[in-house]
Amino acid sequence: MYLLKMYRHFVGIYMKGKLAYHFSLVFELIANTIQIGVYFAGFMVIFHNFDNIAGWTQNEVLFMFTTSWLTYSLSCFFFWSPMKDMGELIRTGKFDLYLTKPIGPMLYMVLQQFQYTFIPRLVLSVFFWIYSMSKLSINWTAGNIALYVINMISAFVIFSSITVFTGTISFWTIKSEEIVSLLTNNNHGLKNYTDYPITIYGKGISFLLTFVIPYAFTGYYPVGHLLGKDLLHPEYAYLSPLMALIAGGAAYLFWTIGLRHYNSAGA
Amino acid sequence: MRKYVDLAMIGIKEHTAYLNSVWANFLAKVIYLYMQFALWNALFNSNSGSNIPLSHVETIRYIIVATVISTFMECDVIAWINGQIQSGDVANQLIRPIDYRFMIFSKHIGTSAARFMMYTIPLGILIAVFYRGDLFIKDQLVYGIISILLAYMIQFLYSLIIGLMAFWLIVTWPLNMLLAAIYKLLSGSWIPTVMFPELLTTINMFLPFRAIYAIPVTVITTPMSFDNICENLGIQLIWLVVLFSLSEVTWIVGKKKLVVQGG
Repeated sequence: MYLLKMYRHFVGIYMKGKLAYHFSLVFELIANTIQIGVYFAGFMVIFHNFDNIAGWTQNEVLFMFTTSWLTYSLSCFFFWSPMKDMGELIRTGKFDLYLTKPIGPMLYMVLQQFQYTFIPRLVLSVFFWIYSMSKLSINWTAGNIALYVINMISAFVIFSSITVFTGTISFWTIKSEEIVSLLTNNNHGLKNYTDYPITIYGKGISFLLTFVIPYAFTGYYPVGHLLGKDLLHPEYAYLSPLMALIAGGAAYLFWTIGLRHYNSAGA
Repeated sequence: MRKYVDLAMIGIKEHTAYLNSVWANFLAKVIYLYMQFALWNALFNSNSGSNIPLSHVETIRYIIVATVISTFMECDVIAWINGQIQSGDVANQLIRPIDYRFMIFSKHIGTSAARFMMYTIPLGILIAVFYRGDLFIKDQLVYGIISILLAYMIQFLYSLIIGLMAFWLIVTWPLNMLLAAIYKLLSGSWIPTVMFPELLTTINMFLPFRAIYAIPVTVITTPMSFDNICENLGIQLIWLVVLFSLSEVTWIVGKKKLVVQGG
């Protein structure tokens, strides 16, 4: 409970700072809205000429990737900004400041900011999520709802873990900005691969997206199962929570090792 | 002439000075290209009988050529001008006995040359290894190259105009960010413009974006009549003239408006 209070306090200060430059804040939000809006427009244009991709209709694909984007935006509210800045923080030595705080550095970095630039993505995702859901006739039994909700929580953990992983790499002096960009850039990021059914890629990429960087568990497997699609491995639909557990544990471990490594470097 | 060549050399040197991000940038291009390739392949494979304006092979050629061109076409002109205006460095640039715009252009050519060597050639080799089949129509290649050069000029003038707007607006990155998203869709670097629905095609008729990617890439990859080629090159020429005039006006008016900051 005290965390919530602290978070409210921190975000209050953070937003006050941002609102001091309300011109740039408003522009950032507008620019993000247009950017995400154009992505959706492009998606519509692609399906203007085609009925389906690998057996998935437009609305099914839309439902799949908005499900994934929803949890992604939520995860990015907390983790994206601190992890993107890790490389910079370590290079400039500002990370030392976080070590002197009375709470853990990760907790502090997550609590002290709120990445509002993901709001447009969340809003647009929710809009198209509801839109696609209304077009599809999904059999919402109690079991399906439970599975869907559990999968969304798992997706949140998976996305956060991957973000933490990319940030932690900075402890070993590789630039984290570039890795973050390679994974999540709106134009060329690897995450974009999972906006479509992963069967359209080669076996190697499917494996990569399933077991190495498990983006496929945030959308393709659980949603495909819910929609009754012919999946590559139907049993994987139930593995999202396990994957989230593994990813979360690994990210925690990796972060702890990284932190210790940073200490021993004596910077 | 000599001084402009030197400036281009500076552009090359500046761009190759920090080589550590080259790998990431190159990998990003490869990831992007493979995704496009897989996506369009899958779309065509799962919709065989549909009425689609481009054939399967033409589309694949289109997205490959568009991605290859994008490796040297895009430039940092807007960011340079913004940076110089914000730091006040633009004052030092303006008192030099060289035309500011030519100076930026020379540096831009240098950067493109560096990018051509670092990204275009390796990516080309990679494609040659993995993609079997012709990428371009041999008879139209000459026109294609002319079209790319025109597109390159149009892209530069467009960036110059947006960049020079910083003379009024001080920062143009929000404007740039807005336009970048629209640019990505309407230029045809992402989705072939012939696939657009009618409304979007009509809007695009009145905008210069398609002259940067859609026209040169189509001239290179799709068989068309001589008249058709001339028409496409004509459209590019018209946009070149329009944007050149606009950049002149922006320059003349902007120079009077300019307030150098940071004393």
